[in-house]
Amino acid sequence: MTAQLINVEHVTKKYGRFKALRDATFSANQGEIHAVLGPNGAGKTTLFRCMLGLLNFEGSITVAENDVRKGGKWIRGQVGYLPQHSSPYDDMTVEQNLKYYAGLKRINPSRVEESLKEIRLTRFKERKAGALSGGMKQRLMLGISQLSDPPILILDEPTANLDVQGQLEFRQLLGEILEKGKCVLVSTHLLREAHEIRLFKGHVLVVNKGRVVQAGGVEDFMKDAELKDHLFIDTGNNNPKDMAKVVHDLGFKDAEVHKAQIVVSCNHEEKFKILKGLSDKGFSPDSFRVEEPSLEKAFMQMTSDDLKKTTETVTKK
Amino acid sequence: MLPPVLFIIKKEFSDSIRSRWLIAFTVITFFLVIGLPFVVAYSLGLMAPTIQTLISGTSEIVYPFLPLIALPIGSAALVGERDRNTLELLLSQPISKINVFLGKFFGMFFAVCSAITIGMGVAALVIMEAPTLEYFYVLVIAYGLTAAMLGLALMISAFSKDRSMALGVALFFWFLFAVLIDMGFLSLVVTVAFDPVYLIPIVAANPLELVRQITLYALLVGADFAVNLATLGPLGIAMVQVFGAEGIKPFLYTTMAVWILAPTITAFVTFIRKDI
Repeated sequence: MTAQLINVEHVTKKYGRFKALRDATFSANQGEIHAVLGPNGAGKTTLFRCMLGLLNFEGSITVAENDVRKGGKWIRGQVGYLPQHSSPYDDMTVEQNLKYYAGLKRINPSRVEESLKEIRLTRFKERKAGALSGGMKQRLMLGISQLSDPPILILDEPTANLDVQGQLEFRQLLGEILEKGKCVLVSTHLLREAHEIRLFKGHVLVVNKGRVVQAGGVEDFMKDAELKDHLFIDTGNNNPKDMAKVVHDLGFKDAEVHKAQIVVSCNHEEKFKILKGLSDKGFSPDSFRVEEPSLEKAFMQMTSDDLKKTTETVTKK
Repeated sequence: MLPPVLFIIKKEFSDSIRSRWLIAFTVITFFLVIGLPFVVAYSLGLMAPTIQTLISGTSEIVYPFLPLIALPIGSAALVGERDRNTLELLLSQPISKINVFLGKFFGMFFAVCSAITIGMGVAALVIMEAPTLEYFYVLVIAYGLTAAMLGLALMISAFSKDRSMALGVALFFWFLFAVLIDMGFLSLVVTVAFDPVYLIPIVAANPLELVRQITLYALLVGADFAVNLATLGPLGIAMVQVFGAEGIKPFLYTTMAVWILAPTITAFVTFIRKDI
């Protein structure tokens, strides 16, 4: 049985009259990976800062059964945090930055050399952090967060400001970390990272306008969004309209013809029913392919009502 | 393993000591203390250097200059971390805000005190060959003024939204202490229009004037108070009236302690309570 590491209960954070978090509740266990999804300004960063005891809030947060309000310092020792809008000291070298933060974490300085290897910056250890590329700087930040090899890792929009090369390098490094079985929370408004989480059979936490709209496994998330697979059938030498009629007759009224292709929305079992039905009527498709529903679509579906409401309010004003 | 606060002190110390402004400050302090015209006069045998001339010269010329290093450095300390986007990473470490605050305060304090010690100490060696205990006391008073100014600067830093605003406010305070109050204008107005007793709060409100008075009463006014009283002017007479001869030093020291502690504690509480 995996231990519950993070427990967030009814957390509300106000800035004046503005509520950045509204009654947020979720939990995360040891070894779980959570993609924290939400548009910009949804409250993801605020949630992380509350979890680290960096902000005052209403409600309760415990990390490894320790109250954040009472044991913030200890909890920060258990969490490797990579903030979105923060940076290492530009006037210090890569090695100096790592040594400084190792000192603050009370870690043996010999760990710095290992860390340099892990983040692949050994060659650049004498370079000032201000002279690093965006990707290298982000790797340095990841190295700092990983110095104490903490059981929990919180990454806030880790690739948001990186170019394509930087994103690729960082994701490769992230993949290696995810394999270590830590409790990882990765916030993103870009869903590409979330796809990686899907690969690791992770969880999804959707935050929108300060509320936790959805919390659970990726597959549950997709199911709740009620999205279906798309089956693309290449008609080959057959008449597409005749084939489409067969599919219609099988009960798939939304089947559409696009040039020499039929596109049908269906779930996993229905695919075989369609292909068998066509075969029974003497149609043998050239080929077919299945496109699974994307996280983007599920995410849009999950947050679209809120987005619509916002748009309507703005329009009325 | 060293406590984290020592790492912060070390970093702040080395950051401050590398600052060109601090190096320039050390050199300028040296020249202000030796006072070139006096050095020429000494070398020509026109006047003999005494500890009294050195102390009074230091308190009149060097003290007003000291806040010019503590205020700008200190005012950038907390708000500068926010401006450079390094604060969140720093505070997300397993350290408390107390560590960060004390680390910054003492790191900068030791750096500025080192500059004062080198600048004033070397100058004293040039002039006096063997500085006396009284001159060491002058250094201690300068350290006290530095602590008060750093506390004030950190308070400004904790309240400010950005570094430029903090620097502007800090320089305004220096201008207020060194120029506006010191112009003698207020003293003159109060002396002419009111009772000289009203000069006391003016002195208490200005740490620069306060350290000058501390130097004066601790080092230059001897045990024979009555002899010197005539030279102390309306303020001296007013202080004797209010506190008695024995009460002046405790009043000055207590007020200086308030100047060190009040802004520092205010800065600390503000920093602790403020969200990122």
